[in-house]
Amino acid sequence: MKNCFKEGAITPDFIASSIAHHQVKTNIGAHQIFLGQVRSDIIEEKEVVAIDYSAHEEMANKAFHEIRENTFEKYDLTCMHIYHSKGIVKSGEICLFVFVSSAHRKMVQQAIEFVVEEIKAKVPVFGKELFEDDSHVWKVNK
Amino acid sequence: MKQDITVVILAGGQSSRMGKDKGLISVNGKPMVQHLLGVAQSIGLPVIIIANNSDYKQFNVPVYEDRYKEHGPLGGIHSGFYHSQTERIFVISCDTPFVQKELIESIIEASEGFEITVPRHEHKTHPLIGIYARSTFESLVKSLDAKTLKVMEFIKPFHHQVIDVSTLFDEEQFENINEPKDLYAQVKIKAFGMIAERMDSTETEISIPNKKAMNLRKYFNELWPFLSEMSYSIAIDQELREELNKNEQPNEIAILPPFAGG
Repeated sequence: MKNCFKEGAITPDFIASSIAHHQVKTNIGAHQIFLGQVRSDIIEEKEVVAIDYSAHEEMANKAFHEIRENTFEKYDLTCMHIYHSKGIVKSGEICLFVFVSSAHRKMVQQAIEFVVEEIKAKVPVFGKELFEDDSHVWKVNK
Repeated sequence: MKQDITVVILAGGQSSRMGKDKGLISVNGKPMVQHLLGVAQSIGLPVIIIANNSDYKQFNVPVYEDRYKEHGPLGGIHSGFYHSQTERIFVISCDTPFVQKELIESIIEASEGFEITVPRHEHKTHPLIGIYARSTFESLVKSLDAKTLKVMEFIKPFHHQVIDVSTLFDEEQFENINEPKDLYAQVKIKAFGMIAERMDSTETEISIPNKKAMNLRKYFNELWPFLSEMSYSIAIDQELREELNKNEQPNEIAILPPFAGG
């Protein structure tokens, strides 16, 4: 089972090199990328400075795998990558990177929405929203 | 007329299969007999235990030995009458630890005018969760002397009733614990996020009663009351489901707070 987790934030460099790796795949005509970024929400007058992600990793990787399989079944894609952070990601940094590629744009546009919604609903990842004063609240997907 | 009833817990039987005295075997963290004591006391009835083992004295209720030893449950019922003063006794065997207050109360309520009242659930009659009047004592002695020891046979000649409680109570209340593997599955619990924080641990081991189908959400909400006020999901061996089957021995059960990925 592929491990979709990366320790800490997903860096712009990592994303850039991931794009570069696809230049050899010339049957691709369209990429679609989703980037989840940690937002500094204000909760009860305190500002979120980071999210500490944890997960049932084995179960989460299985869920990512299933989402991947289902997506390939539903949409005609050339390739697909999912990376999710674990550990601390500061506000403004990237915590989720989904990358789908296909011959044509319609496929990737539909696929990216499906994948992101599935991840939000089905992958056991938990987020602890940290404040500057070391207190925290637990994030819940809406 | 609750005032004329003593609860008699039968713990006299030998239990070679359990390896130790049955009623003292722990279920959900306390001895089986203690579950029943708690239930009897919550109804406000006096309780005695019939046992041939002085370890039962730890519960601070009177313990009496069988007067007819090795005469099965009837011997225990005899001792129950002998050592109580009330007109009727409510008999419960210590190996049905899941009996609840409501079941006992509804049997008592239905019992007026009968010498013996016992419940039936589906096709099974349970003579060792029932109420017996002292008017049966004389013939009890005769049965014991004659060594006719079947409880169902003993009941027949009396003005008795079998009340069907199938629709009122879950079958689990009648669950009979005979062997250690009947008792519980020893299961590793993994907790995450805010749940791990509330439990103060990410991994713990608990015993879950081994029943036909165990509703884990209900069980967890009782074990960790804070869970009943929050939204969470349960994964048995990484599969989202909430019912543990009988004799299932999962490697892990995960308690997952709301997902927050992305």
